Amino acid sequence: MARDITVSGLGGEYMDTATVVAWHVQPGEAVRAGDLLATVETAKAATDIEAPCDGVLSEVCAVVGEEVAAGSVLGRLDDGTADTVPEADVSATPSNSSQPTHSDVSAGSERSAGRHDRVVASPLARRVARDRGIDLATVPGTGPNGRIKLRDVEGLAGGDPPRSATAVRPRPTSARADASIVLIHGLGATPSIWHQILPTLGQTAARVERLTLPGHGDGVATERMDFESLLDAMRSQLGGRDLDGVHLVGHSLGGAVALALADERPALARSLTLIAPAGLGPEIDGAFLAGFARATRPDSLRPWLERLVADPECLPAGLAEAALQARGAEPAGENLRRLIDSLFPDGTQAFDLRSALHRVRVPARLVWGRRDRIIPWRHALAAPGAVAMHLLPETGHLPQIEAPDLVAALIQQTVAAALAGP
Amino acid sequence: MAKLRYAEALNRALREEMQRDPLVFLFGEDIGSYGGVFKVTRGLMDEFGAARVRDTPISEQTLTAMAVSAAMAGSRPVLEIMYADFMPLTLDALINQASIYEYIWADQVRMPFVLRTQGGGGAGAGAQHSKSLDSLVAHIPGLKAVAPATPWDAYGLLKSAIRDPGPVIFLEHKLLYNMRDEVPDGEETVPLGRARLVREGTDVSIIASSRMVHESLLAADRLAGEGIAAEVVDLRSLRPLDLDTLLGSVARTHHAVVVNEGWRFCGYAAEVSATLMDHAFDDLDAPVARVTMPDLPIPYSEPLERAVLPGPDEIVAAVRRTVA
Amino acid sequence: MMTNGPSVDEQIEIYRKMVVVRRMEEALGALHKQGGTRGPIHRCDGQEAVGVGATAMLRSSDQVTSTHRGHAHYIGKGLDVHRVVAEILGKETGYCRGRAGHMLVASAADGLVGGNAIVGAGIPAATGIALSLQLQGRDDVAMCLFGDGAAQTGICHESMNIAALWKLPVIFLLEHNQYGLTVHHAAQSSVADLSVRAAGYAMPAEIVDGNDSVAVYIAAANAVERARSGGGPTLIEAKTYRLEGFSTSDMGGYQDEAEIALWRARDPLTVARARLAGEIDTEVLDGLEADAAQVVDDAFAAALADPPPEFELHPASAAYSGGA
Repeated sequence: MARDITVSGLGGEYMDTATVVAWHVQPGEAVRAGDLLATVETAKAATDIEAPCDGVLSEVCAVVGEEVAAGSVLGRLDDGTADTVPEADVSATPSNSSQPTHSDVSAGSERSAGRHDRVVASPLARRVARDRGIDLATVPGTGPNGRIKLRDVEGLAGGDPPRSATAVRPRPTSARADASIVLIHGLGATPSIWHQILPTLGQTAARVERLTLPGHGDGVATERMDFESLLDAMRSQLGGRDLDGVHLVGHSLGGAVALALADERPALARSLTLIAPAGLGPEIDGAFLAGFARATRPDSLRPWLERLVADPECLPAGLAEAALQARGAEPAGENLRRLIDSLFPDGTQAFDLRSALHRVRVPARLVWGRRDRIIPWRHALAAPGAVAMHLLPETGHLPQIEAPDLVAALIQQTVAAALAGP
Repeated sequence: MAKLRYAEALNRALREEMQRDPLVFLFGEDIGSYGGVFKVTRGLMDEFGAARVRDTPISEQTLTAMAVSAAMAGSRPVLEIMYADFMPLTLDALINQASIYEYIWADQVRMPFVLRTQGGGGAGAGAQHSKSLDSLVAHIPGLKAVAPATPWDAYGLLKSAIRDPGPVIFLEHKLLYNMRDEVPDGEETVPLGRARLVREGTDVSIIASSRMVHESLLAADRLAGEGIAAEVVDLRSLRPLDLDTLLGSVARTHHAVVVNEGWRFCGYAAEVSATLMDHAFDDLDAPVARVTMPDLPIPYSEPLERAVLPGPDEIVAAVRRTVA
Repeated sequence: MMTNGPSVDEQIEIYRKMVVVRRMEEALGALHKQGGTRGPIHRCDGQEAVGVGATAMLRSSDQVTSTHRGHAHYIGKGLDVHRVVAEILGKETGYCRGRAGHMLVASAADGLVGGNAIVGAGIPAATGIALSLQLQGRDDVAMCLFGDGAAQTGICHESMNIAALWKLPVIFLLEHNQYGLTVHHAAQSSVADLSVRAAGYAMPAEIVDGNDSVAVYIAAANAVERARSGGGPTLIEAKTYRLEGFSTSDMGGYQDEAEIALWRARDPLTVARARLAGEIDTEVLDGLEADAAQVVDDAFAAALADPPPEFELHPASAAYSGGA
């Protein structure tokens, strides 16, 4: 029977179209499983398409230069077995003699001509197929226009189980003692940014750890200053913490780091509290970034620090002096400028973690000041429904300083929700 | 349990609410000594006097604006607009006045009034006395809109509408006034914003309101003979729409047919259909189908009128296409 | 049943409010030129005697409906200058939290419900309020301030007929400023004096000098007294003149310069001050004017510094009763 050669899942999460660059096999040629069949190019990179099984290339549906949607059929490979209709399909279909079979559909002009780039299926059939790992391109549709309906996918066995079924759940536990809270500060800050909420958090968790972003206040010129280098440093500071898991809390850039860590290591994060995080939209206050990084004296730093909060009164006296001291001598400023240049070129957040937020399966919470002038609180609206959202009135970019009691309470609630389990 | 006609159920609700609350008063054309052209207010002027049950001049624009402002001043007016076809005359009061004040005036005022009207075709009343204008009123934020299909709901919804703190447009149907069915013996209300599952089924959800509920039930009977189990949902409230009941039904049947007696383009059925697309896309196994009037004025002659009004034939055909 | 004129103290208060309104209009005009206002502003310079004089004898429980040109009505009915200015500037501290803007200001607590930018809509609104007041047995009255443009609408006719028919406690105060937007009254009406129409409703009517606050006061007080005592509605036609064009976006050119000069010479503030000059010292009047100007300056300073509102969704927008 004919096996579809598809481009689904080959280009990563972000690919939605690809262009055929080359066919390496001619129709009629025999191939072995794993042989190179074709090369397609996505917005990100060229990808090689390999033969899914032994067989003969029986049909080319997308020619060189053609742009195809993710999931569409590039061509077909005859594996030498007889055509069959899945058993479940027969039982679920009304005994209608004109019912199209799979071979009817592929032999007809519809798929190979006008609509070959798209599988026609109902939203429900698509959802069920996704959940069960069924490749819809292999399913004959019995609805109007050959539409694949629920009855066509019901009872079919799928391939790989989908991501949601394997999503890591927090381990059930009731012991407070093994809950560790990890705090990650933001750009140009230091762990002292958490000072006001530490006492409260200490009552919640056995350990509260404050991580330090690389190049921040350590007086060392850091060779690489980009997002990956931040993650590397956090990975090494966290070590093999996946065994117990931690409750991740991140502020601003630290929020983005926490989210990225939780996304790449689902076992690590038992809960996630993101305070005014970066990574959820393109806007960021470019003037602040430039002025903040450029400042070498308290007088030039102070106005930028005041922009961080809704009410400058809440900033401790002498903060500008202390911040410069903590920043230390050069190359701290240079580190900061390089990091900003990498992460926020031209005053824009050049990285996007919105899809990561949608993959989070542990209790997660967003806390944002409605008067945040650095990153607009509206970025919070990118969150999926399962993420709790707290928009604090009369609060700027530093909720942990402007509303410490509330922020501490919200972190406690996130931790408690994770401990309570799903 | 008492059996009352739809018009009698409405009459009973009005009487009980007038007895309960002295702020309730009725006004409209021919509602007083004549008792209303559909006899919904029969006997009420005798019981409550000509001040609280008022015959009015033919002045729909002003009467509607007066209902809005009298409600704002503390009364609970119930205005009768004789035909839904006259609703275009009421629209400034509804769109530019009633719908804006609660929000624009920052919650300083409330407007607890009810505008009762009746619409629908099938009585040979012609192009200016037969329309269903559900989408016209349901489109307006700040207003609620209900369209009861049974005497029970006519009674219970009218009581809730009168007690509601905001404006409610109450859409009756001229062919239902004589329908006789059960109403509760004691005082009972039907909450606004709650649909009713009239008939359970597994294969398709037929979503309807007012007279179309009964047409949908006839269609469901015929479909059962073909082995198709249709569920029938009576919306009862057009706005707010009972999303939970709709989504619950579609989650079971995965197929939806929306039936509305009004026009198709930008019509009420289109809104329900889009809402299902918004909220239940991944539950749908087929496109949502609409059964409506064609986009035409309602003609007078019986075969012509029958041809444009949706009925069981059109509903059955739409269901067959949907579950195919 | 003729009311005496206002006492000297009342005249002083009327004059003070007229000066407040004029200074407010001038400040708004200046702010508009600097780009400090949003949307058009409809100034009432030259018409202050009507809005302030007609409302001076009202209680806070009496209900006034206004127009798109209502600043004198707002201040006359006792609204706070700062909160009016804050509303015009779209601030959280405004009467309607910035949602209404200058044409739709309302203060339910002060009986001002409210500005209305649909020309004529305030007429049935006041009529409906009067019906509610009558039904509730309250001795409060409704007053509708409206213009010669609004007098040409169908709802004006409907409302006056109903008000006279039911002897409703409402005063129709026609603020005749000669222009409906850019078109002179002579091109809009078949009669020069609109008050003659009252005869068609068997409603008492009179014409007063709208630039003389005392004359307006006396006519309004008599009508209010008639309405309170069950005598029904009155139409008062106050002849006045719009000195500053339709709105801040008006290009002008259609008002005759000689006509403007004639009315400027009879500025209502000049008329009122001349009348008071015989009763009290010039220094007292100068001090009163300075105080009024200070009140306006303070109101603008405070309102300009007030916070803007933040957007929130409102329950009035609800389309669904459940679910998302």
